[in-house]
Amino acid sequence: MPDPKPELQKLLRGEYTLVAGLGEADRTRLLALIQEARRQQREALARAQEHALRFVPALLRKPLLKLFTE
Amino acid sequence: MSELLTRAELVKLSRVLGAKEDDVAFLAPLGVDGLRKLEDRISSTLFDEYRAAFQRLADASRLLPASLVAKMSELVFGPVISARVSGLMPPDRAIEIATKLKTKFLAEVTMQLDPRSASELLAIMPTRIVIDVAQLLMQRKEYVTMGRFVDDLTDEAIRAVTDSLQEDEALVHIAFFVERRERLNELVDLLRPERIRRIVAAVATGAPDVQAAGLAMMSQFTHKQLARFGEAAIALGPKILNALVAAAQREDATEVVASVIQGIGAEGRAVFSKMLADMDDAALDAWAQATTAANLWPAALKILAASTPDVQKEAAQALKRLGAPARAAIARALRAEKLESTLTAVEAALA
Repeated sequence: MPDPKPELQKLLRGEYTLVAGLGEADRTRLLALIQEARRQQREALARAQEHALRFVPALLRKPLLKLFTE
Repeated sequence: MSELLTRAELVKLSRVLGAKEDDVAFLAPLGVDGLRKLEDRISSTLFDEYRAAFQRLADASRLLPASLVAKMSELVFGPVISARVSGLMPPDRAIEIATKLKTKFLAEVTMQLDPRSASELLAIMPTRIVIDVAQLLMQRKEYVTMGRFVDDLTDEAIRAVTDSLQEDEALVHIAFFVERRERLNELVDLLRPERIRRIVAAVATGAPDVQAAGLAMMSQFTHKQLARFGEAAIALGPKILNALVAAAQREDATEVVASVIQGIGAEGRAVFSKMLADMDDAALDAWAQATTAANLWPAALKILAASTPDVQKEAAQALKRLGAPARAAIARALRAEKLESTLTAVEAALA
């Protein structure tokens, strides 16, 4: 199991000290929860993009794709 | 009491993470402030990851009629993305779109909305929409969402919502999740005395989770609101007071009930002594036992100390009827609080 500290430091930015007192197992669990929330958000955005591409006429698909991914 | 407040923060954090409350229970040692900061940080991290895309969608939506954007929000973007994007739109434009959304969808967007990024929007949200959404959220028991928006909604909107929601227990659950203590007190200030009596009764006679939420709510009150709740509790009589004391004992929060009853004014003190005088022996005994068990005699004696001599005499006559163990407990509290010289009538009655 990799040390969760570097990834948590990156995600929590200046607030890593908030969780520094937790044990490594708990910091690993917290990291997994944040990663799962990120995955859920990524999927929601991907679903919206997929629906949008189905919804708009072919002519507008390219500019629409840019809104999501540029 | 901090345990209950920590529980409220854990629920909010679980919402941000899209997780179950039990999944974040291990973070309880971070405490109320730590959990709030962590939730704030995670919320920003999630939002910032796709902020540029959300901003582009918000900008592009300006080119389309509000009714079309509303339709696309419902059919294409869904509540999560719509909530993120709405916080980045000019508030008046977001309101224009909100007025064209179905209430059911708007309620789902509200559940995903970060109050910090939508405070301007909430402050100008038409009251009619707020009431409609609140009623739907209420049906779904979405107390966390409702509590979090109290900070930013106008007093007018809050009063309209509290008047439209008849369930007193639900108001207690909502208050449990209000973020800012000052705002919670302002919210309580908007409630009429009759509603406060109903809420006190709901807390005293409610299920354990309602009692716990109610005590946590009261622990955040200023002196003014403690006094209003204390007077309501006393006016409701010994059964309600005893139920409140028993709940406080179970939740290890007797200091909250002590603060509530100590906060009462002159009128409440008179009602308190009348309540003592009117109790039959069984009711008086039950009340005395509850007060002794919860170590609330110091609070009760302080009320009497601030009362007129007539009130003190009336209360002393009532206390005289108690059995020896209860009288001994009161005498100990009288000495501990150094009130012998103020409450001479009570001291004489206990002898």
